Amino acid sequence: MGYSANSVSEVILVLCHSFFHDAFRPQRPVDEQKFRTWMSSRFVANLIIERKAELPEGSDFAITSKQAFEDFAVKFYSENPSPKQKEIVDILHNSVFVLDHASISKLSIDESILVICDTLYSRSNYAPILITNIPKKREKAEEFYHKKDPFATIPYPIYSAEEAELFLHGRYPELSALVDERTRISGY
Amino acid sequence: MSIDIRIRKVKVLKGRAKEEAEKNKLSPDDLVILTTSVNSLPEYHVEKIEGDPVSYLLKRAKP
Repeated sequence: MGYSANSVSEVILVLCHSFFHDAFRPQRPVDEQKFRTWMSSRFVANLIIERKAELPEGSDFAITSKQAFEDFAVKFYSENPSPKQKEIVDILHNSVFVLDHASISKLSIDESILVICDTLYSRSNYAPILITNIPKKREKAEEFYHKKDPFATIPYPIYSAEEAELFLHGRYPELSALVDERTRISGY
Repeated sequence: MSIDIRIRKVKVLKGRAKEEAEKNKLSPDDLVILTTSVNSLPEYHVEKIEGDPVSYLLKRAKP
């Protein structure tokens, strides 16, 4: 993963498996809340792809753990995935930094994501934002920090895809407008 | 032979990958699926993404 000597922290999105499942759900959900989550997850995924596509090779805008990515990939594949389905996973793997490290690969999906967030927050110039569509993830993050200190607070934001969409619109207005325009062309 | 497949924006392409994009008269802000096949000399194939990338990829993978 790239590192910049810039003193200003760079935003990096840490992606929970729930986000991938929602963004790549092929069918438009009927339920209104699920539809909003689906649309926002699509927006965030498109913006990640859009931004990564113009960053220098080796720089990243989004990261996830191997476990979280594989959880998505296994469920996304049908029993006999076609070459084009496999290509989607390969392309996505090249748009998101998938961390495959021995010390993290032993952890559960939830813990692996929280460890990535904490490590990025504590020892890099990245400002991590955890993106999850699972409301209980905040409780899990609190439990994670309270193991060592019952008064500890989560040191980075945790956003749902809807909250992330609002944030990204404010932070990257031009890129967001481009994503919105491409989505309009797709017509959904 | 190894194959790398990723999405890039036309304006960041260089060399022969850029020439491929120019042959197809693509704009700087267009997104493309760039496939690089490496045997001895790499070969580049660019495919323009129409609309948003997630929808395009899902449509592309439909049987």
